[in-house]
Amino acid sequence: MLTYQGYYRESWELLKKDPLAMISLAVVVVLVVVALFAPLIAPYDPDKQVLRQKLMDPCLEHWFGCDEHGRDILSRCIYGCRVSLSVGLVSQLIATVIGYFMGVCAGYFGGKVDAAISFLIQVFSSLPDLLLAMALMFALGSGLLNLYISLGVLAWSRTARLIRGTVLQLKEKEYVRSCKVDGGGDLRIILRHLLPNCIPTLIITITMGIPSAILSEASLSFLGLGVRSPMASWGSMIAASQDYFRHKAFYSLFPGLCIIVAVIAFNTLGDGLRDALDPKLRK
Amino acid sequence: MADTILEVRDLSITFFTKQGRLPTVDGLSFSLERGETLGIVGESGCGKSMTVNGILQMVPPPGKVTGGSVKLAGEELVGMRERELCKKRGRDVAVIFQEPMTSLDPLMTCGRQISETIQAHKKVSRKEADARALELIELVGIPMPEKIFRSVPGRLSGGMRQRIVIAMALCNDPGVLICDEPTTALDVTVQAQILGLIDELKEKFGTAVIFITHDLGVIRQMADKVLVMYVGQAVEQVDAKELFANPLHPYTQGLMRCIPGMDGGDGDLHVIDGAVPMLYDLPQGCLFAPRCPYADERCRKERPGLYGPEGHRVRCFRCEAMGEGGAV
Amino acid sequence: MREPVLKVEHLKKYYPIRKGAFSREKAVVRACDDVSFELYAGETLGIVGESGCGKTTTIQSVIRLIEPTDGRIWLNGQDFRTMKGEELKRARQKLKLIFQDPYSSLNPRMTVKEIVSEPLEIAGACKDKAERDRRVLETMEQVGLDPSYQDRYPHEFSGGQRQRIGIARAIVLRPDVVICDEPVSALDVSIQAKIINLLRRFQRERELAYIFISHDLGVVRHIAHRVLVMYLGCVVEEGESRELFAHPLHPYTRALLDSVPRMDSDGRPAAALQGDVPSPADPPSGCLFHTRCPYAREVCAKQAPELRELKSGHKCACHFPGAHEKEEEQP
Repeated sequence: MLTYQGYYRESWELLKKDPLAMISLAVVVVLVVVALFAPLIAPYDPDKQVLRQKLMDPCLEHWFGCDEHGRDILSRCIYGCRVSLSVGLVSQLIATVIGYFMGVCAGYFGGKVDAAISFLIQVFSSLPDLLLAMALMFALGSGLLNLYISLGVLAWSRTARLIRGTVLQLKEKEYVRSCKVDGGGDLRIILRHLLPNCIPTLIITITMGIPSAILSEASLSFLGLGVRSPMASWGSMIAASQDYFRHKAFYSLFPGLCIIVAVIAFNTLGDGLRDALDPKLRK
Repeated sequence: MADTILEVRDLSITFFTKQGRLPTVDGLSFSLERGETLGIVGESGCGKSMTVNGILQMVPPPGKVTGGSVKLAGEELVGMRERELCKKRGRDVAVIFQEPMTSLDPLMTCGRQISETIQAHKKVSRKEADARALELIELVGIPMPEKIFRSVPGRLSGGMRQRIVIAMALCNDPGVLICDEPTTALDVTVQAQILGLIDELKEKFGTAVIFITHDLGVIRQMADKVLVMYVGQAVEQVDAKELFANPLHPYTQGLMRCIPGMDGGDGDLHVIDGAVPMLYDLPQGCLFAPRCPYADERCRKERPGLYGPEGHRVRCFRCEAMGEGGAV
Repeated sequence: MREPVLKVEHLKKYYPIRKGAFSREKAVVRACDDVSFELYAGETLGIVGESGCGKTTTIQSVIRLIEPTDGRIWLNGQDFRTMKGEELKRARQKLKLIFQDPYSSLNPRMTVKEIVSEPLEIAGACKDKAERDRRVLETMEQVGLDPSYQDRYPHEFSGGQRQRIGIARAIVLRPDVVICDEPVSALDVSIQAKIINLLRRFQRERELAYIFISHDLGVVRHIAHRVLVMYLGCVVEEGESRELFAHPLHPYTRALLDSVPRMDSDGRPAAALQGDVPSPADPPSGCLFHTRCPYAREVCAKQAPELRELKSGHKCACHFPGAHEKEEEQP
C-alpha cells in the first residue's frame, strides 16, 4: 500500500506531535504578527514623549509603564520586536546565501577551492563575533541596514561549515553520480540535487541562528552601536533603563522578558525542526 | 527428550501500532537439542530477526511477546525478570549479528572486549580473563593472536571482525548460539571460512545453533533442521535433507526455483507472483494464497494449520491428507 | 566481423598514497591494473571477484566517473576517453549505469517522473515537455511500474520497485551499454529473479550490452555470456561463461566457485581459501595470488604471470593453469 506523502508533509506531521515545538511555533507566529502589524497593535506612538508620564509605573492605560521620556514601554517593546525579528531574519538570510554558496563551492569542487574556503571559515569562526560586529558598526555607523549587514556577514561561517559537510556526503550519493554519468553539468547538480537536499539543514541553521542574531543586536544596541535613537529596540531600552534599575525595575524587566521569550521560542522551534527534518531519524 | 536445550512453544509477538495489532511472529514452535543446528530461512520482513528478539525477550516497543513460552534448559524465559534475563543473555545464549562492526566497541581493543564479557558473567581476575580471551582469539583461527588482542576492531577486515564476535559469543560457553545472518556482509571465500569455523566450534563445544539466513545454499550447508518462515508464520518445518529433496509448501518450492543455479539453464528465472502482504493488510485465508499457483476457494477463505507427520510439518491444505505419519 | 560496442584497452587507475604523514616515500595503489575487454551488442560481460578486487574502480573508470590513469576506451568505435564537452555529453547518452543500493541511488526530493526524465532533459532529447512526459510514462510501463505512481517519491516504494525506477532511468535514452553494479545484491531472491528477468528481456528486445558486476556467482552464471575474474585490480581469468564455470583454469576462480554454498549438493565444502585479500597498498611480489594459492611454487613469488589465451576465447594469468584439475585426476 502506498500513500502520497511528500517529505515536508511528513516532517510537518512529525512536528505536530511535538508539543514543545508547537508551543514555540505559536509564540514565533505571535511575534511575527506583532512585528508585522506593530502600528495597528501598539496602543501609543512609541516615540511620542509625554513628560508628565515620566517613569510612570505600570497601570491600566500603560500596561508596561513609561520610560524616562514618558514614552509607552509596551508600544516600544512592540516596535522593538520589529527590529529584533527583522535583524534576526535578514542577517540570517544574508549569512545563509553567503554560507550556502561558500559551503557548496568548498564541498563540491574540493581541492584548492576547498582549502581556501575552509581557511576563511576557520578565520571567521575564530574571531570574536561581537568585537568584530562592534568594529564593523563603528566603521559603517549605526542604523538598521548596517546591523543587517554586519551581523549577516559575520554569521556565514557556521552555515558554510555545515553545508560543506552536508555536500561532502551528498556528492558521494549515487544519484549525484548518475547525474554526472548522464552528462549533467555542475550547475544542474548544485541546483537540482544538492540544494533541495540541503534545505532542511538551511531551515535548521536559520532558525537556530536567529536567536543569536537577536542577542547580538541587543548587545550592540545596549552598547549604543545598534539602531539610531529614537528607534526602539529591546537592547537600547535595557541600556536606557540601567540608571533606573534600582527603583523602576519594570523598565528593564519588560524588554528583557521580550528578549528571553523570543530567544527561547526560536531555539526550541529549532530543536523541534531538527528532530522533524533530520533524515537520520527516519527511514 | 533429556537433551532439549531450547524449547519454543506457540511464540507470538504482536506490534501495537496505529495500523492496529500486527502479528509479527505468529504461533512459532520448535525445539533444539544440544549440538543441533536449526536453520531459519525467509525473505526480509518475514519475522526471522524478530524471532531472535522473542527468544531473548528483547522485543523493542511497540512490540510485545503476546503468547507462548520459551524454555531455555528447562527455565521459562517469558515473564522472567529483567535482572535474571541479563544474566542469561551472553552466558547461556549468545548472538552473532550480521554487521560485526556494530556489535564491537570501536574504541576498545578486541582482547579487552572479550575479557570484559567474560568478567561480566564470571568472577575471575582481569589476568585470568585476558588469558582466556587470548585463548579464544587463537581458537577462532586468527593469525598472530597477541597482535590482534591489542588492536581495535576498526583495523581488522570484515572476516576477522566476525571471528572476534564469535570469540566473544563463545567466551562463556553458551548452550545456544544464535547467528543472525552472520555472513551476509562477507565475500564468499570468507563466508566459507566463517561457516566452517562455526561448524567446527559447534562440534567442539556441543553448542546448539540457530542459524538465520535468506540464503538456501547456506542452510543446506549448515542446518540439521529447517524452519521456513513467511509473514511471521512457519510454513514448513522439516529435516534439512528432506526439505531439499522434497519441498512441499508452494512457497518453499517457489523460493528454490527462483535462485539462479550454478549449472542451471539459460531460460527466464522462475518468479513468485505478487508481493509479500503487509502485516496490516493480511489476506483472510492462507497468507500465501494470493501468490500461490495452487490456491483454491478454501485457501482464500480459511487459514491452514500445520499438517503432516511429526518430522515434516507443512502449512498447506494440500498436505492435510498426509495426517500424522501419512505418506506423500 | 562484428564491431564491439565497447572496447577497453589496458585500462589503469592508480591512486597515489603516502606511506606516512611525514614520509616522502611515494607509493601507488593499483586499483585497476591493465584491464582489457570487448563488449558486443546483445552480450553480457560479468565481472566477479572479492570485495576490494577493483570491480567498481574498473567500471567507474570505464564510465569516466573517475578519470583513468591510462588506457583507451572505445565506445562505438570512437575514442571515449579523450572526449570533451558536447561530444562527451552525446556519447554519455549511450552509456548508462545502474547502482546497487536502491535506497541511495534515487534523489529523495524528486518524484519518479522527475527522476526518470532527468537524462532526457540533460540530453535535450525531446522537443517539448509533452513528448518527454510521454516517453517517461512509456518507460515506466516497460519496467513494470504503474504510470499512476509518477508523482510519488522514492521512499514510498519497496526495494524492488526502486530498482525498477533505476532501470527506467538508465534505459529511457535507449543506450547501447548499461553497466550494472551489483543491481540485485540488496534484494530478496524472489524480487531478484524478477529484476534479472526484466534486464534479460530488455537485452533481447533492444540488443543491449551489459557489464554485470556481482559477488553472487550463481547470478553471474545465469546472466553473463563472458566473465572476467579479477583479483587485486588485475584480470586473472577471462572466458565464456559456460566454459569458465565448468572448467576454470585459474586456482582463484576454482576457489571462488568452491566457496559458494550450493543447494544441490550435500557436501560441506571446506573453506577453499585461507586468509583475506592482501592489502592493495602492499601487494605481494610476483603472482598476486601466490600468498593464498594452494598450488604456488617458487616461480610464483618471483615472476608475475601474463594473461595468456590458453583455449580459444579462454584466457588465464597463471604459471600452472588448471593445476587443480590435474590433482583431482590423480587417484
